[in-house]
Amino acid sequence: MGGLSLGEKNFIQGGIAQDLRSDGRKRLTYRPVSVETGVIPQANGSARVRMGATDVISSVKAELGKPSSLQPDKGKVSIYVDCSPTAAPMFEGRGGDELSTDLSVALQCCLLGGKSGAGAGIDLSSLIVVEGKMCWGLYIDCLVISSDGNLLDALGAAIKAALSNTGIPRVLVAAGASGDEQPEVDISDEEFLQFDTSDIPVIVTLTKVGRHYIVDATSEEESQMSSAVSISVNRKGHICGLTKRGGAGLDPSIILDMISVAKHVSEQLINKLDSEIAAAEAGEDDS
Amino acid sequence: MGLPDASGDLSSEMEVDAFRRLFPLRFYERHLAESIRPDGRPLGRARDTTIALGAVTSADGSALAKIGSTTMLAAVKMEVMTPSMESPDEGCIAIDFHMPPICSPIVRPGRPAEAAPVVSKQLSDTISSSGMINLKELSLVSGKAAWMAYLDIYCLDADGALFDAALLSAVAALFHLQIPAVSLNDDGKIVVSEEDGGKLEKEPVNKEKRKLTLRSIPFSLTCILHKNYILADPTSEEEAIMETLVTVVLDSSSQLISLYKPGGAVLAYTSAVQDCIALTRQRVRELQKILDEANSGMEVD
Amino acid sequence: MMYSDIGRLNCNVSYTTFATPVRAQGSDRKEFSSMLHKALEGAIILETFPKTTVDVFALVLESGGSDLPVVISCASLALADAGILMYDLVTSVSLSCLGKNLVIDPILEEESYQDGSLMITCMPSRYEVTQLTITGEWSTPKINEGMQLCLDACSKLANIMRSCLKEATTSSQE
Repeated sequence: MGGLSLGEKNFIQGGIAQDLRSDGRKRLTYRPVSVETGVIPQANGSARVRMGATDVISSVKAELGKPSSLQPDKGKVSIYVDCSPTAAPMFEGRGGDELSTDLSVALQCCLLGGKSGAGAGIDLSSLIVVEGKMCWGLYIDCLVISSDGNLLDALGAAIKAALSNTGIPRVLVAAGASGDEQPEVDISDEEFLQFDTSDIPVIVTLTKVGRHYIVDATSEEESQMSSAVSISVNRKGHICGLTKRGGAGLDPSIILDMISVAKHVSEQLINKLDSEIAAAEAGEDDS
Repeated sequence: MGLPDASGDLSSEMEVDAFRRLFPLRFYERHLAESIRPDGRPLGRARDTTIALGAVTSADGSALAKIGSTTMLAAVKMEVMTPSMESPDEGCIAIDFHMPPICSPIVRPGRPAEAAPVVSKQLSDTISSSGMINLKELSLVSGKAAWMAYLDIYCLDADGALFDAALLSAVAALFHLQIPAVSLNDDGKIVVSEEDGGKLEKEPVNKEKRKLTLRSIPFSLTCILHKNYILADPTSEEEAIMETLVTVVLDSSSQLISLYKPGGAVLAYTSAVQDCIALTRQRVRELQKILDEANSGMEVD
Repeated sequence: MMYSDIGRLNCNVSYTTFATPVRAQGSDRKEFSSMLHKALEGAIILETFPKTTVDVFALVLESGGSDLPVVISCASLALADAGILMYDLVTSVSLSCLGKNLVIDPILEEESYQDGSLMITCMPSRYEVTQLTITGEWSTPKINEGMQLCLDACSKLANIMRSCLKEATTSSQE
């Protein structure tokens, strides 16, 4: 984003203070969200989410693998974000690496829960085929095509949509395998198991500009922020993960306040996303 | 100060630090003429050396060695592997020397130090050729299982004489090494035994933790040759100014294990080499004493 | 290098090969490095040294659990020792949730069974949080309790760090 003049900065900050942002939204209103699913036919599941000018694609591939020895009854999920150079010139070459790592870590933190697996948005035990020997590994790859602020929310929504679109092929285990041998499996091409995504949390990023918080900041507004907190909330209203980004320090009471605002906003966002995803899936089934 | 001023010599008009930075060689030569070095040591004396064993509790053997400000941390981790076909009853040692960015301003994350692979190769050559470790002791089940010892040495502070400190910490770590107790379970795999002696179905291959028997422990001393002076145990400043180094490695019975002189402007005549070896012999005695004290300190605990 | 009005901060965290119980390839941990960067950049007064870069290198010699908070506190002590101007010391504590219990400063085993974790980095005198990371499912009262515990621990840690710095300067003056 090119440098903003002093006048523009004052305009943005003043507008936020008066609950009227540059594009006419209120502080806690999201931009219109559009969701398309099934954009990558070869992947097990995929989705494309657009929030204003921010555009991200997420795809899920499932592969059979061996579960880790520390947790033999859980599958594996790995999340990777790539910021494409088409999104912003500074992402070219190695420039986008740091941002990609940040986003990947934040997404893992928000969606995968604690090390023991509790509280994870994705139920890892449903990915097991044969305990201790074979499990599904989900590889979630996200690509940022166009970046206009609020990447984390868009990525969270895209992963949720992609997972609801994901079909894991049904696996029939041949009986009689014992010891260390790999069991014979028959991967069916016809039957698919749909993923249960009702528990997957959404990510709400609250950006603090001046003394107020805004939701879904554009990149201009993000350049003015003093700090931002990304909170992942699930349908039950529990916090599944939280990361604070941005340099300035925040008073702990402000953080708690932001958490309650995020919970309030997340209810609307979850409903909106669910209806968009259902519409997209229905649209895909028709075509 | 009673010393003759050469013509054009600014030393009397300048502060000591400035002179040291601008004319380092002359600064040192003024000291060497008086048979002393800027930090007060006589030419043949090494810096204060300390060894602390057991610095890393999660490793099977470890040691922290300091020579002056040069600090090295060495740790040994043991893993079970299948031995090679040519030597089915011998284990293996892999030695690696790292210089992380904290040790010196010249090392940066993308740009590793030039000295690191050199010292690494020197160390592995010295330790294997000294015969300090009998690889047959590292065997467990002939042809099927043997120990692979990974010896990693990290330089925490680089202030000259890197090879000496690294060798000392490596030797001390191997001294401190306790091979874990293992036993053979039903599948033919080696597992680490429990502390209380293991159950009967498992056949103990290695009853309790044991130490390696080390013969002929190597100790080294690096010296700088400059004109006809020999300086023992250089600091990094001295190494940067006067570039001719000679490293002599002797074992505890004063047998020569290795002599290393990588180029340099000064030629080493026989007399210089013999002087270096004599200095090293003295140093070996000092280091042996320090290592024994560190070891007995550990055993008391 | 382009001229910049404010200083730059460069952080790098790496592990030795023998730091973890199983020998692993010692390598840079990119995510720890970026978290260390975020934790420290709010505390250093970068305007005081334009056209300069401060490099903070951390080498973890032995990993016993709760690594990143220790790295952050240690880095801020090193910055204070170097004389870099900072708004305040940065202290960091992490908390694990095991079932219903909140355990502060977990060891490696406790971390592998945790249901959730909360890591706070704060500047105790200013009572400001520079970084906060929560994983796992938490309800708001639990977050509240966890944050209070951690902030309390941070201020105690800051006192210890300050007395350590004072001792170091008095002993070097003698």
